Amino acid sequence: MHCREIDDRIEAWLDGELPGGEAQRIAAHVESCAACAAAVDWARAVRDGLRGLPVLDAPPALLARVRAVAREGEARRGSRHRLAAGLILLAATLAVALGLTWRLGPPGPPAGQARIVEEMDVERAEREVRVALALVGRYTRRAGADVQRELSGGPVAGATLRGLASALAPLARVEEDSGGPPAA
Amino acid sequence: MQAFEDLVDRCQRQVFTYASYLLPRPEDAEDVTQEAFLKLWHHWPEIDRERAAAWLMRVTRNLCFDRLRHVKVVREHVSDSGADALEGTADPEPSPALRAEGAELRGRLEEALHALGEPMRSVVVMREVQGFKYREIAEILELPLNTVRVYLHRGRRRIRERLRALAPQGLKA
Repeated sequence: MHCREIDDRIEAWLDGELPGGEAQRIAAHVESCAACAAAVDWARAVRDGLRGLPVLDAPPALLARVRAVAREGEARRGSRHRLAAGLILLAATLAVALGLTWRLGPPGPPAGQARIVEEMDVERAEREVRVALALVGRYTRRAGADVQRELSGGPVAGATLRGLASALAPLARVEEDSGGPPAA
Repeated sequence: MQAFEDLVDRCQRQVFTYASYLLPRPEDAEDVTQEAFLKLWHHWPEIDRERAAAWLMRVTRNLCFDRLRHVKVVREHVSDSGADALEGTADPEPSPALRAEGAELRGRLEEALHALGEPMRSVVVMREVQGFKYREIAEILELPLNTVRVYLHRGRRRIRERLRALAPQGLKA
């Protein structure tokens, strides 16, 4: 084995990463060659010197800043989740209340007329409840998307409120169109 | 939240040490460390906890490279030196944070380390200074395992040659 070949492999040899036969040939050469033995000593000194270089702790003030930002973010995430959950509950309550208003309206007209009006009211109430439930479903999906955006750092409360407003707008229109709950 | 803070405690030394050996100025290392942890926090809900430490080191590496590219652009505006983007971009003088820790031998090793190009320098720092396993380095730097070995040995050999040429007595002393 030539000295040049040894020089190319010293680091791998020192780390014990050469196959057995090759490692033995290098060991034998190093035993009998003063120049290569010196090169090996040198390489070992460099490796040990590198391993002795300092590892450094980040400044405490920097870590405190990171923790403060994280805690603040955590608090914001929590409040956004509570807001989203509250809005979902509000939407569901409104929808149910709207349906009940139609179902439990004041007493209708007497006798024969009453049955026809009642059937029409029930039909309409069922339709409106279906609409309301569909809107609740739609809003719930939106709120879910808002929460997902919050988790990835997007804008939140404004979007959530706008989502609720647009989801409930058709309900208000339905009420206006029907002139409110049936009177008689 | 607790898991995040635990990870900050566990990895702060790795991140800051790595950034300090890659970047020329201590304030750059601090900025990058802070930015890396804030990115970690920002992506925390979607990050696989098992791989969070490697993710963090990868982000740190990318932020360091961005800084080094920026340094290169600034230097090119000031002088017309056209050195490779990451080859020897860092200041050949080690940062004061490192200087303060070491003596003559350390100073020379750090100089030689700073003169290495990427990804050789990252591999040598991670393996020899920080004690990462080959597998971990391969994952962080997104290199095949065998390539990591080759870079490590080549990097150490360059340092050996550079130091021998510069001041062999200094290392032997």
